[in-house]
Amino acid sequence: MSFLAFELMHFAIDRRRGRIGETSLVDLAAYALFFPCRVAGPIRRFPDFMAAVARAEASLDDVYAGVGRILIGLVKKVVVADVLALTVAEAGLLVTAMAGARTLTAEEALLVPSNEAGSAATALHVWKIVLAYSLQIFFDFSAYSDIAIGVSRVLGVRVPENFRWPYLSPNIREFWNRWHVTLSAWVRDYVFLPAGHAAFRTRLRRAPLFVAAASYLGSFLIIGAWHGLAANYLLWGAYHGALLTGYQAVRARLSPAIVTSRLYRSPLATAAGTAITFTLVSIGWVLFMTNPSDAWRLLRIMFGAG
Amino acid sequence: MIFTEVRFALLVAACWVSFFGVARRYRGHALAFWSALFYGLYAGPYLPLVAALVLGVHLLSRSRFAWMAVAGLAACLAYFKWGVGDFAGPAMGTAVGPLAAPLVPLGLSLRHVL
Repeated sequence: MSFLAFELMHFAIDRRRGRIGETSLVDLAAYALFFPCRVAGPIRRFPDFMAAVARAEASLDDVYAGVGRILIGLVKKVVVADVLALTVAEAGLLVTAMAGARTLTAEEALLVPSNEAGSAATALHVWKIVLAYSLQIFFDFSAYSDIAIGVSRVLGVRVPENFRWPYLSPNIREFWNRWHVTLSAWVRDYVFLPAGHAAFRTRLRRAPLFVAAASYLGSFLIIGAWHGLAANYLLWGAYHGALLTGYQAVRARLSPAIVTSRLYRSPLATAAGTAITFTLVSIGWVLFMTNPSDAWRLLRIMFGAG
Repeated sequence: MIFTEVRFALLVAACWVSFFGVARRYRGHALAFWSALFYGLYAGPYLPLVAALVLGVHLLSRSRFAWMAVAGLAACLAYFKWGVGDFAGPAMGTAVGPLAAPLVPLGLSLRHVL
């Protein structure tokens, strides 16, 4: 429903704005119902999709490329993501043990360092789980995208990419240009930019950082809520809104001399930025993966306060 | 997982044949037909709702009532996503099982998958 709703909203808004011309009901149905992308996206745009359908040719090259992409997706899902999921499952046992909700079975206890209120749950152990979760989310979700893109390609229809090596992003803004690209672009086009432009037509234009912060926060609360209307998703959205605002604030204050310096543009600085971004994103997944109180417990352990 | 089912592969094959078998101007018809069949197979009870949404958006988006289409979609999203649940979940299968206590947002909108 989420993907369908966002695609139809795009159609309704852009058609009303005159960006989409006369369209038949059948073409809209073909776009909205297009089955390869109905399970996990990507979120397409109507004009691009219809152009891709019109361009499609029966081609063995497309079939081979599509099947190859499907196989990559299946390997990512079954061989990588599902194996990582076993490590991630330990997090559930860990918080169960820490909360004292119930005594772990002997089999479950083998998976966690201790079942006594998390006393033996080391920071390293929790970091390992969080790392596994970060990778699992990427491999799992991008696997579904690969399969959707692959099935579309078999039909000769090119649909947009959804992931472009997001964990190699040197900063958080770049991360959101590479992670779930089609959702980010949708929120940018239909929430962030309209909200920002509207704010700049008011007296708020004198406080651009405030406008940016409010737009980021609003946009990422929507992205968070899109995953589900629960505190953890909203908290995760607010966290990323705050990260982007922070990045924007720091970036705006850097002098041109620093930004153009050889050190700032060096591979070392890029690698450091990538490591910091990955760490911050992974910390965000803790907020995402479980309820706020359990997330707080895990974060306390990760930072040696548990 | 839907994508590994034989009937899904057959659906793709049948769609491929008809998509390229019909005249270019009827490709939309072929895609719409097979996609509707997909909905019918995997989420049959929701097909009328989806059809109504598509029809509603098609009619309203031309008029000054386009906002009603957006509002209606947002309401459906709120109801099905945050209320009743995600119908795609059960069709996707299970990978890990009851040990996976943390929420796993796979496919993001498919948070019930695991």
